[in-house]
Amino acid sequence: MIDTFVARLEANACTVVGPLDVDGARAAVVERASGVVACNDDVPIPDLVAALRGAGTDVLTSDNPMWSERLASVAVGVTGAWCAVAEPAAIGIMAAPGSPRATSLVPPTHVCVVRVADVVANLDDAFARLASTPLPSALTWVGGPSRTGDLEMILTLGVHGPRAVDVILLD
Amino acid sequence: MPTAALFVTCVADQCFPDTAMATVRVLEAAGAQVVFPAAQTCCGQPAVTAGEPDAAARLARHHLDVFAGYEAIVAPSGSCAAMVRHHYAKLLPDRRAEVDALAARTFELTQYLGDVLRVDDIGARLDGTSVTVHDACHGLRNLRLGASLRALLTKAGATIVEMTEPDTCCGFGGVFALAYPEVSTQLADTKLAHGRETSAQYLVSTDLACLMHLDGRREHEHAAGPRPIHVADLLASGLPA
Amino acid sequence: MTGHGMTGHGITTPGRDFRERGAHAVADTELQHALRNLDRRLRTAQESATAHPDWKDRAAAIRRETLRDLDGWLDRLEAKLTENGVQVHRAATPEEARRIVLDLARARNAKTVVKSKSMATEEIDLGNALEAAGIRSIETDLGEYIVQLAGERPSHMITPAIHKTLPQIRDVLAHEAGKDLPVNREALTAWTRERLRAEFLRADLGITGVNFAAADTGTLVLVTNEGNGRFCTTVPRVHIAVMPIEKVVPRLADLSVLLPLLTSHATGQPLTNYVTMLTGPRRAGELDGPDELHVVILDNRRSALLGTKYEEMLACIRCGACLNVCPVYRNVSGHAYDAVYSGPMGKVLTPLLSGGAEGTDLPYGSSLCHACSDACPVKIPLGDLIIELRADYPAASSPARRGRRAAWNAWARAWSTPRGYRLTTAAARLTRGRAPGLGAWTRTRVIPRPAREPFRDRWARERG
Repeated sequence: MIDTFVARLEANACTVVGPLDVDGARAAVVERASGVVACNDDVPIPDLVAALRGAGTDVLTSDNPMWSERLASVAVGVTGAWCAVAEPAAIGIMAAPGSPRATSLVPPTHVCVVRVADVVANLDDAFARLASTPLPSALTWVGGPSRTGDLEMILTLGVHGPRAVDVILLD
Repeated sequence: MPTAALFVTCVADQCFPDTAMATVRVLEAAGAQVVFPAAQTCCGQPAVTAGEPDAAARLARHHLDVFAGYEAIVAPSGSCAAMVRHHYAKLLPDRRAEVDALAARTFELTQYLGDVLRVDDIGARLDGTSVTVHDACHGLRNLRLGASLRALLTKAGATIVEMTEPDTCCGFGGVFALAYPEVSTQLADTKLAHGRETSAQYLVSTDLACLMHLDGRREHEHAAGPRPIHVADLLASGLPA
Repeated sequence: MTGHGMTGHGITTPGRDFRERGAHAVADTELQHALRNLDRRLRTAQESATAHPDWKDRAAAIRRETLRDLDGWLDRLEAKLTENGVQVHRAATPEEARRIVLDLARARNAKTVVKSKSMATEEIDLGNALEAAGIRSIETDLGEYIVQLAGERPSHMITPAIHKTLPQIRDVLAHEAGKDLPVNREALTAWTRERLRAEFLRADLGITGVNFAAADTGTLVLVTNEGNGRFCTTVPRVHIAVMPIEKVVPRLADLSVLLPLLTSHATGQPLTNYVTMLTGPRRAGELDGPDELHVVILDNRRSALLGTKYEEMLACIRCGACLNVCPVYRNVSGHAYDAVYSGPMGKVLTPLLSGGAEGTDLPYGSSLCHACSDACPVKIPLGDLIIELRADYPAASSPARRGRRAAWNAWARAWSTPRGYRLTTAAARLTRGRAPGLGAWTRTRVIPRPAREPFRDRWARERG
């Protein structure tokens, strides 16, 4: 199932690494940091912000009173995921006080850390999980970089949402 | 011996009697005895498509009376067979049981050969003949034809070269051909162009309306390309005289 | 080149009726070239049905379950939405819906509105109403943005600018940019991304449609590929979602089949790039999302269809598959219909939602091939509905219908007896089949003449 998930994500023009252990995943995020990085609370990697700052990265967290104003300058948005579907590939991200929606929308690159245990096979399984979960104000399913077919039906990436989606699988 | 009552269709009766006779020969070669209920007129399809259900119902009642009691009714036209099978129930709600019985026994020619007689070889020889198929809409979508037509041609030794989009409408559509001639003609041109690309000798179909539209356009343009022909005419041409 | 004076209603295929506009479209070589791009969506419905043979039955059942108690489901939806902190407004007519949105926009002092693609907002002509009220309203779906800039209406519900070639699109965007842009997808996309991002970030109000609204949880579901829907529902302080009544579904779980069915038929994708599920406005402590979430539920003569032979049209999930397979649409494109909804579903909805005021010629512009009925993911018998509309329009009492009906009834009387049939066909043979009105055929096609001896006479002679 994870192999299917990876294959479908890559077919959607995502890059995927892992499964990695926590330290490997942390290093992978730090490796992808450039410019200003926005980091949501839902990333399942302890001490991630400290590691990023330790590497000299300017990290924007949601408790920053200038969060909204600074978001436009962010190069990489890092989030976790509530659940992911292997086929069709879709990563479900829940809005919450420490996890704003725009982190996975505004920056040109979205880095998403997904726990292998949170990957389900199909939509039926995802909806079954959802039935026993309190619904957030926004649950957004992401398949990959933003795209359009509006220009003579040829796929073009990077319209309004992120141009790049990097998925890090966490064991 | 199974008996097939020929539902000739007004178009074949009036404009293409040779095709109707070929249909008879094909049915007989397949092992059926053919009878022709002479009181038949028209199934009413033009009225239905003109939005005139009362006029259509009048013709449907006559059709029902003429063909009641025959074990199988066979038409060389998918759209006419589909009219009975698909539309008569709505037109004659007060004669539902009779309509259902009639509908169940009404077939397009290749449907009858394949599904009822279970025959795909009627002794026709078409060796060395190349054909491409136009899947007429009502036949395809209402009656789910297609397989039987191809089996008959293949068994007769014809080579089938499939065209691009064999199942796209030819553009006849009844009154549409007169009311929307520009689009109707463009659809014919597209179909004929797809046919030309196959380099086949014949463009075969189960519906005379499609064929008269396509052949009419081809002749008007003095176009080359496969000759539109009804499956009955083609198969009959390969039967021993 | 646009055909109408009204802002945003321009069409690129002028003409007084469907036939004239269709004829214009067929002769437009650039349009014909652009339309061939739609061919890649020809088999999406067939492929989906082959890969998932049980989906259509499941979806058709869900939609009909919904229609059997549409009022009930809407009440449940409204209750749940309200419980979630959403403000629900019911609009019987487009005028009411526009008034509700404009009042909200004015009350919130909105200067800039960003809109995500929504056929319902086209139906109520909301964009023009906002502009007329001095409120900047910007379409953010790339295809919608292009047609908005061109002053045209969308020509396809999924791919609004399908009628335009890339050079034509470049011309529209370059005109707006005030500078030259290359005929290159990446460059045009990059320019649009930058231009619209500025609008997203300054917008006061986001207006979207709704793909589905789940009654059990009060959740609104939006599907997009671009991310514009997400922006419209994340950044502005106020979000208004406009939904026609038939968008309600009983349960969120119903979407496990309805969502992939919609996307596979619409674009051939197993799922769109983004699916947004919104349950209420922003919550305490959250940094983004709207403070206020409003839903405008639009009727516009739809509930009048319930219990009639046209009820099934309300099962439509707006996938556009019927447009993609329609031999007429594929050759004339959406502008020829001169209506909000085009293609086979537009042929049915336009006369019905306008109460017979618009588009009564549309049902006749069909070759009745039933490709639409076959393609429909929720099994709406579109071809049959089109035929039913021919019986209802023109209305029985109208002069246009009365003469025709009398002629058809006379023909049926004649042809319902063998004698009458023989007499009239003998007369036709005498005139060699010439008749007025056949010029439309003979201008482009040779016409078959009646045979000297009809089949029935030959049979009698040979086999009698």
